[in-house]
Amino acid sequence: MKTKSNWQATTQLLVVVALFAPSCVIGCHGQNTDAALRSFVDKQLSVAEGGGKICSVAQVDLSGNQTESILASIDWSGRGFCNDVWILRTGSNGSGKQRFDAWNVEDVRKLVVSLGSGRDKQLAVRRGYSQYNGVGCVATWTEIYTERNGKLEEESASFPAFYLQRLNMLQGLLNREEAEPECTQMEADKIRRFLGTSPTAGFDLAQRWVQSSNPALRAKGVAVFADIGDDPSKMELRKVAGGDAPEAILARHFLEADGVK
Amino acid sequence: MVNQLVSDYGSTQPTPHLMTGIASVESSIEQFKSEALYGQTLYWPLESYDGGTHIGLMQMPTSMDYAFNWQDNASNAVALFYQKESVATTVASNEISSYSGLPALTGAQLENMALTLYGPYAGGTNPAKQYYVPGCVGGTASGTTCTGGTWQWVVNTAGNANGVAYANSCRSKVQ
Repeated sequence: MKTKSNWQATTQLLVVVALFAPSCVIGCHGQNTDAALRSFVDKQLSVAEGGGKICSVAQVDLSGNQTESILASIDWSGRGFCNDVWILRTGSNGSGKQRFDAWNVEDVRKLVVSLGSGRDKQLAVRRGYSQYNGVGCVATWTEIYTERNGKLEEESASFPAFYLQRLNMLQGLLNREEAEPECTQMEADKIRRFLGTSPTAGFDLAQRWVQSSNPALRAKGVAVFADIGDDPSKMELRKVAGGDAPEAILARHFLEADGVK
Repeated sequence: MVNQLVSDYGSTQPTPHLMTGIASVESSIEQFKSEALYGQTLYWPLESYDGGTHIGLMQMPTSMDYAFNWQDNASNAVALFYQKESVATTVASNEISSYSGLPALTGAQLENMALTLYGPYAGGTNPAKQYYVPGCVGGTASGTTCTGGTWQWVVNTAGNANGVAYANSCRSKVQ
């Protein structure tokens, strides 16, 4: 009889736990369904209320010590732009939310990478680097984040091998002469600048782009100058900063953000 | 196509031709493009560069209907834009409740907010990701208090430069 009571109590407890499954999303290692994760994220970020849609969710252990976090990519436009990435966590190893501007993250699981030698994992977040212009390409740039004291911190510079590998892949694409190679070229040049192998890679090309009759290419040139950020690049930005064309407004923004008038 | 976009949006809107600006940015106001696909050089639906996640005049999420029926593509995009205006109205109301003296958005300002929300850099109801944010003009801000000045809507290039640029780009291409 006593055994049966214990069994009943256990059953009741399980029922209660099941009823409140979304509230134990974090910490229920490997137990959460995709639907439960989506429900949790929706409540935390008011996704439906804001006219958004959850593109993907995943439960991940970035630190390697079985502390679970939830990753989510959100489309707020209603058009399938999964460009807002969030990490949600609670527990003894830190709590709260962190968001990242990203580009086209249809599956957040693909952001999780193992680049170090330990059990911990990193987040490789691809971000837009050139302006969106409809059907044209968007150049991207990947930042690497590592968990430190319950918070993700950008530590891209600690992973040069990742960027070298990426550069080799991009160079292969460029050698195959893509139809619209400028976005690939922008990323490859940015990696060269980042690694220090060519601190002004892309400058000459950007000079040609800002003279183009194609407004999307002019905007890409502005983005390159802003990213190089040295004095000659700022001078180039000043040259195109007059008027109301989108790339001029963009150039003024970059100059003002840098404190240069 | 321009007439259809104006008709769908409504001639009494603050900027009746606003949808032509979106269509210009998204597709150069084209639904189809001549190219060789599957061994056939034909006018195929205009796909986004990333392999075709978006399609047509207003670069809506790819579907057969949005690919081959440009009028549905346009009208559903306009309906989506109206939803974005609704989200913008909610965000603005919340801000006006918090920041004493912050004026209501004008019709054109509401359109700018909705443009950012329609674009790829939308931030939903996050007030920090909108086209406008409250700014203490002529004074000093401390929390929601503006001393010596007034709360006004200021363009949010600091919080969402890309979103603002998208909206400005659409406005600059209105036909």
